[in-house]
Amino acid sequence: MQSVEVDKTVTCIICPKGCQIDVKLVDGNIESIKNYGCKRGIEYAKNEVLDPRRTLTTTLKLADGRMLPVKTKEPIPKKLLKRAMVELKDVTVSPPVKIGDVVVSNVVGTGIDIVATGNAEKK
Amino acid sequence: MLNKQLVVIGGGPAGLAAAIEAKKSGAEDILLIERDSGLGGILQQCIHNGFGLHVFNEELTGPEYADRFIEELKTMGIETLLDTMVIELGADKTITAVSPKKGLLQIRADAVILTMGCRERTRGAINIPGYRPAGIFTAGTAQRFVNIEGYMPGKEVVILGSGDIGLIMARRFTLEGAKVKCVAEIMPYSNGLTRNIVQCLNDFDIPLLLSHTVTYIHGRDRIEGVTIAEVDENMNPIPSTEKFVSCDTLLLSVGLIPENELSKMADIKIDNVTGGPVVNQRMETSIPGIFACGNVVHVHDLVDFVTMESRLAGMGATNYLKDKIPDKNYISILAGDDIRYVVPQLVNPEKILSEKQNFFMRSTRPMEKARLFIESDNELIRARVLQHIKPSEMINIEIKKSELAGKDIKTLKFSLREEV
Amino acid sequence: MEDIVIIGAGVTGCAIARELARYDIDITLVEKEEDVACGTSKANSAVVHAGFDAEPGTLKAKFNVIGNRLYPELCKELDVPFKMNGSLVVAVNDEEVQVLCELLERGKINGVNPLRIIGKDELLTLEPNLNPEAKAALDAPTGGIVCPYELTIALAENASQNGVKFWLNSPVTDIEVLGNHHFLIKTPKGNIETKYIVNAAGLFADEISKMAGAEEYTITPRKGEYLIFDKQFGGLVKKAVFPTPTKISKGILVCPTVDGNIFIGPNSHDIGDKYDTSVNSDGIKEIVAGGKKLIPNLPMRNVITSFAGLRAVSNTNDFIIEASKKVNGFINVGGIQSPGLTSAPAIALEVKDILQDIGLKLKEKRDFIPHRPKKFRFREMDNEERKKLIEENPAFGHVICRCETVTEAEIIDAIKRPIGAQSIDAVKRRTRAGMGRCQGGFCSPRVVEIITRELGIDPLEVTKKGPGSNILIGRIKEFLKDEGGDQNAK
Repeated sequence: MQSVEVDKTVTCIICPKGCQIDVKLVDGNIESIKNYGCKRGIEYAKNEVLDPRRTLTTTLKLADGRMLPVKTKEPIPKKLLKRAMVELKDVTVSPPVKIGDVVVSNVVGTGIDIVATGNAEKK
Repeated sequence: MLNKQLVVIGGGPAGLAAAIEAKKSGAEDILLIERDSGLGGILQQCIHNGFGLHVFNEELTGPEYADRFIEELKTMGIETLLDTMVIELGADKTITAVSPKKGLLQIRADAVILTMGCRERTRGAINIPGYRPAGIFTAGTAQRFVNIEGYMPGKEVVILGSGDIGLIMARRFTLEGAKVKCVAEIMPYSNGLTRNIVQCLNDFDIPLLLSHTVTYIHGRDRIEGVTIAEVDENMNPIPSTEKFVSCDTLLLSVGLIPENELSKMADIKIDNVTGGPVVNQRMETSIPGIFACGNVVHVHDLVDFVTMESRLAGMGATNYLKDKIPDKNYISILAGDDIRYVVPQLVNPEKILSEKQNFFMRSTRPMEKARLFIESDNELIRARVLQHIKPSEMINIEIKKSELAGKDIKTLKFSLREEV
Repeated sequence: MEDIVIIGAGVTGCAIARELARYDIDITLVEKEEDVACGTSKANSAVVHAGFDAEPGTLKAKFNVIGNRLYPELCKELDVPFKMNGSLVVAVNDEEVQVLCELLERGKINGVNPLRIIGKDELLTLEPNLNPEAKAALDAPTGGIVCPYELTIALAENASQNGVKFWLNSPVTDIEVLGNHHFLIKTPKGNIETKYIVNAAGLFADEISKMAGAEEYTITPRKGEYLIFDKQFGGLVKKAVFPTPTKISKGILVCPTVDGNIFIGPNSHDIGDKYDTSVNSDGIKEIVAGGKKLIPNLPMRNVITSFAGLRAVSNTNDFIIEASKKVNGFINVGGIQSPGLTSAPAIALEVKDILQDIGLKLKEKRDFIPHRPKKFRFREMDNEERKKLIEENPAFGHVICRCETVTEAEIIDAIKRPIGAQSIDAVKRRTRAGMGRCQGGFCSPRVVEIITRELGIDPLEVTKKGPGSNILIGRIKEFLKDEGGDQNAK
């Protein structure tokens, strides 16, 4: 069987330097990491290549028509962001809601909840 | 005529932090006036995260950050007026405000803290040629429509300006199903945080066109597209590079301007470079007893610095209320080579409120590495090597009170010298 | 059957409508745009000319001077902002001083009084920011400035109060001559039968005239671009400062607006497209150069916006105000370029006379209402008035446009008045909300909200300036489709 080699360049965001870190993958495993500026960069580049995650921040509709700001409690896989947005599109939240309240559990099967980042009193 | 010890104009992060700190440091009779129906200012619509890394050691969204202060304000029992717009400010600290519930209010304050924030630069101000159709929004206004009102200004978007607001909205629009075609930036470098370039543009394959600008707006009733062209070293469009990009929305993220209409009404001295009041070491303006902090003084990129600055203003106001003695005997703070501006612009070293003074400044251009020189009256106090300097990322330098007090210094200059 | 249909709701059409509304006749005004004052009447220099510039013996000269004299009373009656601040025509060399002498002569013949030439010292005392090379100027104290769209709106409101029917969004698609003084006018909104037609269709007057089979002439759009400066610099000039004129245009002025801004412009270029109100970078360069000739220190960092207006220039180069000899009952009021704004009240009287001449019986109404509903301008009031007003109506305590201090009550009023605002720009023209330095950045979401509430429509239906210019494209979440994984592909 042939080996699959992939070269990726990651812009590190840990500090303002923004190192362009080169990662070589062979058959899905990291073979080498080059051009990092520090230890934190290695860790960041590894995660960005193998399992890039993002905190999703968005809004949900409240029952009274207003908007509620929300976020994923923890970062979810980057490739699931769009699917999460689609899953959330018809959700309506009934006030009262407090910051930190779980408004949707286990978004797109990640096991991660969506929590409110704003308060909404009953109108 | 209502009498108040301290009036804070604006209930965004600056006003909140200033009012809380003023109360903590001893001011009793405080009134905070806010024009919106809720507190938090612009943070209410900044639903993305990245706030509070310095102040709380956490990564919060705008509303969460604001809520920490709103709760504290409530707990401390600080009086607030919402839906109330200050329409007049006098040099004698008289304030006229209007609200539907309270009518026209006239207030005489012993001290005032100005925290009116800033407004966005408009299409009109940068003279983009073409028609004047619907579909042109400044990024902040679009953000308000999306995040507060719940409406999409458009479906096919071009963004002019790579400042953080534009980048954040590029991501927001994309997540909500719109197509962001590109971000054009007139400078040869981006104005936003690297983190935002990665997470707002790269993540979604949105092209960033550096050294490009919009040279024409097409469409009479609703925008139909823009002409984008490359620019030369003098930022003049190169006609042979013009390309038409279709879109139904143009978002402008081309700069923020401190909102000092009230300050000018009171004849407060304004710094032409920052666009905000000239302030001293305790954030006091040219009128003793009138203080200012936050974006109204100079445009910030991190709300954490706004909080720091505003706490200083709150302390400063309480300090002033104790003896009402105007400050004098200032050191002039100068912006030297490659420094655009420094805040505060004046420092009375004897009256620095804590053991150290923060100086906030911006470079005039990006530099990978440079030496920052801090000189008093031509004598070098200190030099420091800084890396990854960008005009869009404010530099914060702390100087100990002991380095400045009792030394009969007249000027303090900050300058940068690029190193290879 | 109507007695009169007026085509075009610019300042000319509305002035005619208001004048004819004094009489016991049935009048409808049809306008193709979504509001009055959407054509040349909202995009011009807003100067009420003294009248020295127009060629003696022309209709322009005649109606300019009569109109100028009617302005103070008319604006007072209709509560329209007007200032007789005076005009100056500046000469920077001896040739130009010669032209000033010609203008002085012309003005005297036209009946402009007072009118004189002043020397450098007096000139620079009057306008200290003027180019120090200025040698002399023609000083015309009877020149003034007005808010041209507010005047048009005021005329329309008052006409409506007095019974004139307004059809907006109604372009005339055909005119059938059914007989002597008998027409059928077709619009997408319906047809109207009428005895008389007054053609005040501005840029399209030639096309309307042709449609009716009346006299043929051509209207060429002549574009003028403008830049407006922040009110902070409102003191740059006090009078309307003109350069010495050319054959085709009065030149690029530096001029105050009646609201306290300063503008520069217009340039002057004939174009082919009657809808082309775009501003171009060459035009901006041209008007900046022209402005700097008069006022070298223009505050270029404090421009708040730019716009362009199209002058309706007829091939005869003069106003065409006459009853058609080919089609009985059809009156042309075409080619109304500068000094059209100044002339409007005088043209209205002339049209009334022409109608009488061709057989229309005019009986004065006994119950003509000369004033329009009271206008509240919160920003101009003192605090005592403001306090009382808010007590009576709390919506006056809710400031919506921070830059121009416009309250919610004023915006609601703008929507509810006769010929009420239906769009963002219509609200803007009536209240100034959105005309300030932030150009609607702060207030536009709030104005959208007020319009939806007061008109009972969906936010998605709110437009900037009529059909096709909706502000918002969709509701949030509406663009999210059930796709697998990736963001929307093309």
